[in-house]
Amino acid sequence: MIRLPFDTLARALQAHAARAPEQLVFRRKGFRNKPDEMLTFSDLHQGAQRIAAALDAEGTVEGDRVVLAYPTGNDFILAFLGCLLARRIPVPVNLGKDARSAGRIRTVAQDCDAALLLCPDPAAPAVASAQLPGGCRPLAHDRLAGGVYTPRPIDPDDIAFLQYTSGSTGDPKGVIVTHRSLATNLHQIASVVPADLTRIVSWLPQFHDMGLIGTVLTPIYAGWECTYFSPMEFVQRPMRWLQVITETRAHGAVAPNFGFSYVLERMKEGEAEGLDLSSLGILMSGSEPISVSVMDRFLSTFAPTGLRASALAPSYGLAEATLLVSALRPGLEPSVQDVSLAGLERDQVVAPGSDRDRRRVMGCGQLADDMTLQIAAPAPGGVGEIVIDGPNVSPGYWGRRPRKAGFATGDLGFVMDGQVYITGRIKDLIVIRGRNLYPTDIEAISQAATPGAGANSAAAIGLTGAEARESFVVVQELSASQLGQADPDALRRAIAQSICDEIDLLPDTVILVRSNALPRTTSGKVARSAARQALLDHSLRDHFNPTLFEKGPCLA
Amino acid sequence: MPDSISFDALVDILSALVAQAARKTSGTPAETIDPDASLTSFGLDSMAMVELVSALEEQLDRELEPELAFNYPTINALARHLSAQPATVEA
Repeated sequence: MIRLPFDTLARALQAHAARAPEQLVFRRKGFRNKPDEMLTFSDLHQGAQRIAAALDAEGTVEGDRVVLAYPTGNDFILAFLGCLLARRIPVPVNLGKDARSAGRIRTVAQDCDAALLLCPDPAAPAVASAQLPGGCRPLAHDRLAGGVYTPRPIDPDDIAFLQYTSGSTGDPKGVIVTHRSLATNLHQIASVVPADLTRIVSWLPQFHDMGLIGTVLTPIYAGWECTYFSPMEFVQRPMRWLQVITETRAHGAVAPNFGFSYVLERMKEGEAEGLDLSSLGILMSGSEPISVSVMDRFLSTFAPTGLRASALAPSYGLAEATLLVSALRPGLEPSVQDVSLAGLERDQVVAPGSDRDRRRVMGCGQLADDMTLQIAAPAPGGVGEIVIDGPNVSPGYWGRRPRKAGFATGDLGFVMDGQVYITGRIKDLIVIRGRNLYPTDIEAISQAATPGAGANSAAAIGLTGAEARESFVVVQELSASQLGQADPDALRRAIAQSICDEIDLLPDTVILVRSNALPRTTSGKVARSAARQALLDHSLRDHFNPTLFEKGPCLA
Repeated sequence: MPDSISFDALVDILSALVAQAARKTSGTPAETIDPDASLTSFGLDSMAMVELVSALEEQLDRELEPELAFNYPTINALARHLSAQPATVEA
């Protein structure tokens, strides 16, 4: 077993606050004449203690689940730590700007049987329309006051918090993170970055695993400084990411593949001028399939600003491992394997037969310390499901039976020269910009939006386009009478609109087909992988507009 | 500092930008875009709402809050808000 510098995050916070109270740990970057908002270790420790005291005063008890619905900011960090110190179990959720996130907030509050929901304003649309379960009281962050802080011993095997990145709307799954698994993964993350790293920059959502573990909790554990802003501020001006790295002379940053490709997509002539990325010892890509061509273009575009190839660190992780599973170690340049697509379909790693058969796969580095990884492959050296274990791997989901040995990730991959390569997914899970979407949720929305459509009449299919750009299409079957009456474009829009209203993402294409056109399993369920194949080889086409999917979903 | 833009001019600019965004996302025809309808009803997800603000910043050459389209969620509401504000030039 690895020796941890601190056996819990709370101990790390206490130690840094005692050792270096005035050391800056968070700078919430302000734009548009707004000042930066700073937190030192002392601010963090005292602020968290105040919230812990107030949680006692609010009548909640140890072990209670507290849903945290916050925008990006220092208040979220304080509330999260306050819960840990008070031995409440924080449950971060996405506080959307409109009512679209209300459904997810309600589902999570229900599943974890939360006693309290903390947010800036209970009248905000996402909270007000959430119809919280009776036992869950919403409370404004500013109303948290009073009480006397009582230090509590924390058992490393107790639950620290729940990560709801798993499970569909109808079947949410809160990944249990214990204090021990959290401290272990924070130490594992701190061990895969250059030893002299002390400053990072982030725009990742704080409620989601990569942003929370990688850019909020690791800086506290390891004593780093993190300058951050919101995902919306990144989307508004993606170059802010690189400008803030330049300003703060940051040593590290992390984003999903989307972040890298979005910077390239939105970048304008001359915008790289004045950037200096020579301070970056690590620029990590993770939580989404990594595109070799995006990484290549990013590196060649920004090499003139001092970005080093050895700074690029592909990684692999998931919420069930707390976060990190593997990452390329400092000083090494990313490695790429050219493998045969046809070979991958037979679960084999072989050289490509032709250019068309070539698939470039980037290595996601070496396994984190103290973890094990197995490929459940039919043949040695082949492709199979990745099965992981280690002290950072979750004991299970909230309210479910505990896990037995080994967690089957649902991701497919192989191991070569000590590196993990990810080639796809077994599960039909759709992953977009790091968000996990369940086909059944999307299919139910499409069926409800289609007049006369029954259950099991739709398929939501995730597709990976050029440069690992993830999208999804919806195939909806129509009854014979609907085929005769429907205004296809209006119906396509209605389905897309309903999906956008519920999950805040649009399908790339909505394809309408006649009844029973979708391939099915022997038990009559829609066979999504067969439907995907039929779409790609054009044997499944839109009834009204057969060329609708001709060029694929997002190759434009 | 440029003169503030009239409400009508803002509605025109916004209608064109929304039509462009909606065509890209949900295929909503431009002629059906109602300036009093919620922007989300044209198939704009959260990211598209922020991208709309970005495009607007460029057209108006002024810095805006990324959340603007959520706080003023129709073309008319956005135009009313922006025409009432003194234009601040980006630093």
